Amino acid sequence: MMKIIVNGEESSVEQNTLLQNLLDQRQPTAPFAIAINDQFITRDRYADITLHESDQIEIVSPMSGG
Amino acid sequence: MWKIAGKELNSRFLIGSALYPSPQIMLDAIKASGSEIVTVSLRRQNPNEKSGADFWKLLSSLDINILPNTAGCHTVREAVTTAQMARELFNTNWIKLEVIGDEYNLQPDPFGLLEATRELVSQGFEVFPYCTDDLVLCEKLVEAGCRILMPWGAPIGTGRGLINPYALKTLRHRLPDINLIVDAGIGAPSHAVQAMELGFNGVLLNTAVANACNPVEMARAFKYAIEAGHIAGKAGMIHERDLAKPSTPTIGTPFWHQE
Repeated sequence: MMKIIVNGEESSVEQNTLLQNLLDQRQPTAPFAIAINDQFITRDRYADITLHESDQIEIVSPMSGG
Repeated sequence: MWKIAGKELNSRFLIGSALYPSPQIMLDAIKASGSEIVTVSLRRQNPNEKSGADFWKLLSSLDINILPNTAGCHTVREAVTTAQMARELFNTNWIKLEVIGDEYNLQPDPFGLLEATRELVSQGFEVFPYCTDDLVLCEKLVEAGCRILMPWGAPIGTGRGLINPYALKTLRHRLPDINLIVDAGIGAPSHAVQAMELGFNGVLLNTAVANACNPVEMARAFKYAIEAGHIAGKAGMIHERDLAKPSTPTIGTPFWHQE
C-alpha cells in the first residue's frame, strides 16, 4: 500500500494504482477536473496515469465565484 | 451591442455567482441584472455532498457565458493549472486570471499575473486579468496579448468605489482600443455609473449585489446604473466650473435695475 493525498486528505491505495482506478473507487460527481502535483491531467489520460507515493491529487468541481 | 472576446453582447454588466442568500436568489438576481457573463470558480469536491453539481446544473439552466476564475491562487503554477482545469470543466478558453500577491487586501501580484498571462495566452486562453490600475502593468499585459483588462476599483469586497479615478481615467486615455472592465470594490450603483462615465466598457461585481438586503432589486439597480453611465459617457458631459453660471437667460429679467 502507499499513501496519497486526495483533496488535502491522506488516503491509502495499492501500489501501481491507476488514476482511473481511484476514480472508480471514489465515484466523484460529474463534472470534475483533476490535477496531480499541480499538473493538470486531461480526461483522456486518466487510464494512463499511474499514481505514486505521496502524490497530491486535486479533484475540483464548479463552484460559485466572484 | 458591444463586443468582448469575440462575443457580441447587450449587457455591460458582468456578475459574480457567490455569496447569495440562496441558489434561487442567485438565479433571480442574475436574471434581473441582465448580465450575459457570470463568473464561477473551481473548488475541491466534497464526496459527501453534491453542491458543485447542483450549482452547475442551476447555472447551466441560464443561457449565459461562463467566466471561470482562478480565485485563491497565489502562484503562477496554481493559476495556470486552475485555468487548464477550468477550460476542460467549462469548455471555454476564457479565464478571469487572479494571482493574489497580498493576503491582507487581496491585491493582485503584478509580476505573477504577467508571467501567468504570457503562459496562458501562449496556450490559447482569452485572459481577463484582474489587475491593479498601474499603467505600466496594464501596458505590459496588453503586450502579452490581453484584449481585456480588469483593474480594481478598490480591494475585493470593500465596496469603497473607485479609489483612484485618475489612474482609471489614464488607462482609458492611454489604452483606447482595449476593453476595460472595473472589477472589484464597487459598492453602490453610483460607483458603477462613475466607472462607465469614465468610458469603461463594463463593470464586474458580486458582493454589492449578493450582500444587499434585496439582491434581486440591487441587481436591477446596477443594470440601469451601468447603462446610464455608459450613455452619459458617450453623450459627452460638461466640464466642471468654479464659478456659477445662470442657466436661465438674464436678458429681460423683470425687476432688474441697472446700477
